Amino acid sequence: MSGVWLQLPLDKKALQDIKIGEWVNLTGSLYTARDEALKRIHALVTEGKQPPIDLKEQLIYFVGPTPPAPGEPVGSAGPTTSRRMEPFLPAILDAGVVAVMGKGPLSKTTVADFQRRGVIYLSAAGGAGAFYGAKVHGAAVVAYEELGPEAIYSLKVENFPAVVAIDLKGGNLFEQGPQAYRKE
Amino acid sequence: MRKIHVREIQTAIVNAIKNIHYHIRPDLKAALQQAGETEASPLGRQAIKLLLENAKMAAAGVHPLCQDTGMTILFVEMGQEVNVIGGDLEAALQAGVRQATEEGRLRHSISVHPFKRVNTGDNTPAVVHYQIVPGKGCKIYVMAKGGGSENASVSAMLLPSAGDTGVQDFVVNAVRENGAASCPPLILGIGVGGSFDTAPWLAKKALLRPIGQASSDVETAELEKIILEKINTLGVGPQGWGGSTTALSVAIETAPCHIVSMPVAVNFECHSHRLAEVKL
Ligand code: SF4
Repeated sequence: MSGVWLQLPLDKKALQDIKIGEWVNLTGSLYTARDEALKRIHALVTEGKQPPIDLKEQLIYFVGPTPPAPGEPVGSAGPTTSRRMEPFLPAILDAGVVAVMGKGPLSKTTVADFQRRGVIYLSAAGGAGAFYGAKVHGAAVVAYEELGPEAIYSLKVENFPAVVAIDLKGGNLFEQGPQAYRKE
Repeated sequence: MRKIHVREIQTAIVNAIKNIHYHIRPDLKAALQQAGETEASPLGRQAIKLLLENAKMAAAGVHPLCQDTGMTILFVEMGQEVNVIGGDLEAALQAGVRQATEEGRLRHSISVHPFKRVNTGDNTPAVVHYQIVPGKGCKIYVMAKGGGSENASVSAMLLPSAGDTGVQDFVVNAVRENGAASCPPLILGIGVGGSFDTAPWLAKKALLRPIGQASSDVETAELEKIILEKINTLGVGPQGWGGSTTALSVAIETAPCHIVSMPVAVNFECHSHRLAEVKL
């Protein structure tokens, strides 16, 4: 996909000008987390404790990959539904996360919170697990190993495309995109 | 009596499950290709192109089509003249799921209990629906149902006076509310009638129909067409990014029902649509 190249971890300045509906191509390292891992981080942050990894300037990808084939870092690795993570988002943003990536819309409250904090939301293509799995060139568990596919991994990705769904200019693709094509 | 050994059934299940996670169905591929041409939004067309690319990558056998390898749903249609030998049928089916999960490198996505979120570790149990049918055949539909699209599914008891427009509104509203999060373009199975429990079962059964195959009942086929058109005016589009392809197909199954009831259910299915038909 042609689009904006973004190096990970993210430079907040690079996020200023990207707009909803634009593709970004990610290269570098990101962290994965989903339901249970996020719940644990949320609990730690709420108690005033440090999360097990430094989340400053990080991008969190909501994913639970399939087991890897021999010699591969991961199996299929597409996004999971972001809305499920909403109760835990304020905690990870407090800990310094600057972008999250998953699939599907987020609630109005979350959109407003992202825009207030200057956090972007990337929508990866749901159901494109094989495509995304092949963009991952390294994987290492960094926390909560006992959670299996739900553990926190550091993934090395290359040329990993996603669409900007919440930008820093007040845009929300999941609202504006459908609005433009509504014919009811 | 025709004899079928459970081992034969297990092997067939294993092969089918392993296959559906790496190979897109031809009817689905054709529907996506067509949508890639007719979709109004450039971003929507790019999303569909990416999904077709995804299917190509999965076919190499390294990465499954989707990381949510789902809950296995089996519809067993067993001929009444068949004698299943060599062991317990249900155990063989579950053993097949277990074996395919291991050999196909599928994700473990089943919790032991809805409140105790402990993983069963092998994707069992599958949900099995049995039907006894006339004859000597044995047909098993094998489906891997993702959680995202399943979570968007809904059912209700409408008033009989709501009629077919009531069903239209019910389905269209459900897609408006939950379509974007269930990996559109969608395939929708709708069940109307029967008792409270029949409608969702019919909705899932409707998903077994090849994509684009209309109901054999003329009026139901017309309703399928109307609902599909309405859904595609919502603007949700591929991935919920906006566009004219929110659903690829709508299939409705009906059953007789009580004079005072109109149970209705819609089962959301995502574009991954992993489904196979096994005949023994
Ligand atoms: S809804 Fe379907 S395509 Fe989307 S993540 Fe779930 S199983 Fe995969």
